Amino acid sequence: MSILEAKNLVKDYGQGENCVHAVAGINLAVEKGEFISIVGTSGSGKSTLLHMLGGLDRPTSGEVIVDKTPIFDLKDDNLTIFRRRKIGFVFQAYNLVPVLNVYENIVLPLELDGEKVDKDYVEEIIDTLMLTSKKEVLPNQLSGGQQQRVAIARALAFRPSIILADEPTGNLDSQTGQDVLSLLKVSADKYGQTIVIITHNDEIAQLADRVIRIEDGKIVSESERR
Amino acid sequence: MKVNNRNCIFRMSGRLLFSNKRRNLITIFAIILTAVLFTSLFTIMMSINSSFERNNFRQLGGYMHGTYKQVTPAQKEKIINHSYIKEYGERMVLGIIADSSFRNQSAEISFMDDNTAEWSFIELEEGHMPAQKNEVVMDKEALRLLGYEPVIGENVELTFALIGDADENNKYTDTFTLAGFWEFDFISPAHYINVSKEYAEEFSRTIEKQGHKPLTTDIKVMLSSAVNVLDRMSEVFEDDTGSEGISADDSIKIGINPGYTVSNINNDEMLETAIPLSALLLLVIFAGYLIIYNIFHISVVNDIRFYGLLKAIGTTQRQVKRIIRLQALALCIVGIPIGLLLGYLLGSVLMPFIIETTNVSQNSLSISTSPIIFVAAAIFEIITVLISVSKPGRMAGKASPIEALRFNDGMDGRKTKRSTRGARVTQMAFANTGRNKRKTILVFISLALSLVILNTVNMFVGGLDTEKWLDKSMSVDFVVGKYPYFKYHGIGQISISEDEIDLIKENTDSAKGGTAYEIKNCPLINVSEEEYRAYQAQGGMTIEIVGKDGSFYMPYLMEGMDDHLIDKLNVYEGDASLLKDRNNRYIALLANNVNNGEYIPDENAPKIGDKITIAAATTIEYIDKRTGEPATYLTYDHPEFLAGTYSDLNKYEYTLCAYVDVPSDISLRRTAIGYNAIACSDNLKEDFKDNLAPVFYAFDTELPDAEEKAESYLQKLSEVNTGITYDSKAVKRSEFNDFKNLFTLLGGVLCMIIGFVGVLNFYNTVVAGIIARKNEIAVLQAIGMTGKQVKEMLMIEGMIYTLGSGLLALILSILFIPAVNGVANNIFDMYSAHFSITPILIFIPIMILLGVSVPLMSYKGLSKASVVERIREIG
Ligand SMILES: Nc1ncnc2c1ncn2[C@@H]1O[C@H](COP(=O)(O)OP(=O)(O)O)[C@@H](O)[C@H]1O
Ligand SMILES: [Mg+2]
Repeated sequence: MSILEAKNLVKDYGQGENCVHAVAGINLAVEKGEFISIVGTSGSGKSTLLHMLGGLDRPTSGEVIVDKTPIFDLKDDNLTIFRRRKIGFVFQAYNLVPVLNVYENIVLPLELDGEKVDKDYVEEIIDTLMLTSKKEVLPNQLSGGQQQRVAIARALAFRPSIILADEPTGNLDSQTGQDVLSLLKVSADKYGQTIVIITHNDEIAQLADRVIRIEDGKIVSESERR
Repeated sequence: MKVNNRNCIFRMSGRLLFSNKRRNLITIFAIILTAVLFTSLFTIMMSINSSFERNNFRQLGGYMHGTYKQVTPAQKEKIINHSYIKEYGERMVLGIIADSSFRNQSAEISFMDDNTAEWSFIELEEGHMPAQKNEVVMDKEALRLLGYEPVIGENVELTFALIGDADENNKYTDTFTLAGFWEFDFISPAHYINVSKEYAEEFSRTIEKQGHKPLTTDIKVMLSSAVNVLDRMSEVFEDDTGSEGISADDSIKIGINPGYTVSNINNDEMLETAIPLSALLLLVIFAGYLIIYNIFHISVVNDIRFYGLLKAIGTTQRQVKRIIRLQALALCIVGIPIGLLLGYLLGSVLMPFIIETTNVSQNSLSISTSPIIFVAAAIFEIITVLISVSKPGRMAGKASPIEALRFNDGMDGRKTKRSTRGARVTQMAFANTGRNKRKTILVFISLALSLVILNTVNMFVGGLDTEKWLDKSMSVDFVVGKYPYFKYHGIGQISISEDEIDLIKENTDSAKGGTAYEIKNCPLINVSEEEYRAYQAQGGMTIEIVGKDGSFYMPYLMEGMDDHLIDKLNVYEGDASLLKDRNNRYIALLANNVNNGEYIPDENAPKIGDKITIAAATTIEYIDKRTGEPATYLTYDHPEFLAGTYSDLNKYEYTLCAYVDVPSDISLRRTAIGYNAIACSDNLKEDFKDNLAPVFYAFDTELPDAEEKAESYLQKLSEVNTGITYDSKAVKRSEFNDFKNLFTLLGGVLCMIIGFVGVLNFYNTVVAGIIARKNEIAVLQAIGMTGKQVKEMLMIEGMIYTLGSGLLALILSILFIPAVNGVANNIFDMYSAHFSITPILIFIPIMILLGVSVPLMSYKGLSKASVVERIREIG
């Protein structure tokens, strides 16, 4: 059963002659627990696709169905709420809230929802991501790898069923990148999460169950590991 | 469990607040400014109300809520033990002095307990309330009228009549010892002369023995509030029948203090003040909105990517709006108390000037301490702030999560091409200012407008010529009259007396002077029936009243003048000096048809040389037109059948000698519909005798020394509470300067607000521009533009705005000055046309500085202070 499904997804930017088909009719189904990587040249439409899969942006046409819910039928605020419960995002620019410390950043999605923070679980994630000693620290005092680990912890805090990551290792040296990614995979395995990751890094792409290549907004090839 | 999502919003708002210090300072300043305006407005409104109330109470003689009249001891017990009654006081009235010197304001002899005395504005200047049986206290004016000095221990003889005693000659005389006195309040209804309780009780027994009714006791009461006084006072006796000692028909008389109702409802003058004040209120809301909106707009533009990021993480639109709102409210907590305090002070300082423009006397001034002022001002302030941040809040709420994520992406090529095309820095700067036309125009207009207003206000105030105005508004050096003449433009009960005028003459060194008089009771002028009907149609009179012989009369105003005042008349037609003829009766009429100083003779009006019959009546007999019999209560049900006859008209024939205009300072300060006439005071005295009352005394001084002395004498005289008030060139001069200052203040505040909005708009545009072109600027630097050159470009851009609007203001002002001169000349007689652009010239260097510093600051500040910047630096 697919947990995440895109149907005829199209996203156009601009109008008339200047119209850019960033995503030009993509069909994709992701099974529960799957680890998928998306590759492609710069400007091929990867980020745009990911944003729509996660409900950050609305498509020009087409549907995204998450856990049986057609998410674009939801009103803006409801979509936001749905998204923060079901989907965890990790970005290349870690996008931490600079005025909040590490712990506060991690539990922010929970608190925004008014959810009682499950302390044990959060501690466990913090532990898994090796951030225990940095809980009270502000983001700008952390290294890049540490910051990305905080962003991952934040994405995991809600126990989302899906994690979407856009070049999470893009700003990290390859050693740190591998490190961060293996932590992400470890925790996803541990909690049974589905991962969709955009990457330029071949080694990382090869960790995935399935590699999807995109060019000019279309899927050009799919390869299964094994 | 949904509990603590509020906490994290609060926490985030708090943290953001502390990371945004500069914005906060400006916002707090704006909140203080608007809160000051709100609070001072409310202080003024409430204080006007309380001053009106106080004035009413003074005129009514006290501020107790109400009085139970003639109560029996049993009723008294009932009253003072009732839960509605918070406090009570007692009064027993013995009698009244209403003859000779007390004809205008009678004196009431009574016993008052301490509460009643306090509520009747009795504040002893010296001494104590009557304790010994024969002690007495009274106001100093009463003492003077009785012929005594205010000295404690003085023996004072009082002769008074019982109230409502039919026998006028039945008077009581006794000698008392003066125990205390106070300053008389000339607008109060009566003089109070207070004796001891012991004396009152003994007096009661004495008159009872003589067959009179014994004295009764009135109970004055204060309830918990002034709402529904009559109902609540009646309820005290509602469940009464059958209770001990009080029979059902022992009905009680209740009097409530109309001061409380009159002042609250239906006070025209209050309405007159309330309407412009509400307009001001809207203006303040609008100004506050513009300022606070701008600040938050800038800050949201600054941090838009940050809000986008919050959205990406899963913060809903509503939560983002809350974050913005909470920050604004937190700043209110700091700004509002300061604003309330300063505003209250400002309002209190302004009140005396404002009271001066109403007919409430200066010593009724009462600065309200009502909590409503602060509650209302705070509520208005919070509403203003919430309105102001709602749009920036929406904007932050709509921030796109995608934009935040795209932060590091490259930019599209087109824009870059365009700005690199003109390689020269200046050219680029010009091109940049032209990008957002609407915003650029807004900045230009608001900056230029504030400068133009500043210049106009300065020009206007500078052109107001005090001496020119004095020449126009004062035809004599001094006018002395009583309070009602100046304030109410009538003399009513109180007018200056010949004795007082003599006293003034003795104490001032006047070269020439003269008194003006008015026919007090029923002045009439004989007219044709046609004219009378026309007058009726104008609403002049509804009941038809005619002379015994059937001839028609209508009311008019007659000002009798001494020769010195006659000399001051402006003559349009005829010869006014004939008025001074003592052997013949001449009359002058006020010219009605004067347009811009040009007199157009009215064909229907009496001609020079015509005989005019003037008269005064003492009694009018009313009849029922249907029966011709004296009017009965049946007639009063149908007033259209009511008619009257003047039964004793004293008629005199005067010859019309001139059409004139009376300088406003020596006029009666009001006019009648129809005729306003002037005649010689001596002639009128001969004809109308006691019916002629002095209104004011006006005089000129020869030497500056004499003028100064007269001024200081009158100043002192008016401070002693006899109701004497005066007008002089010195008084006018200071009034005029007050007006100029007030105008400067208002103009200055207006300039400041518009200027502040202009500067913020400018700042807003510059900051938004720099953020929007962040990447572009980076590219420019990448292709070889030095940091210095970037700054140079931004500085030139800034200067285009500020110097440009400065020059615009200069051009506009130069173009407008003739128009300003023209309009001001038209409205104000005392305006002298002139030319001035000094304020703009002073401000142009400041504008240049502004144009240079704001872009530099925001360029530097942006790379450090902005939250978004930090995100980027981290990335
Ligand atoms: N907001 C936007 N406006 C216009 N074009 C855009 C916008 N966002 C992305 N694009 C265009 O859409 C295409 C796909 O972009 P993106 O999804 O970011 O590619 P990738 O992430 O694969 O590098 C690119 O050509 C890009 O220029
Ligand atoms: Mg991308």
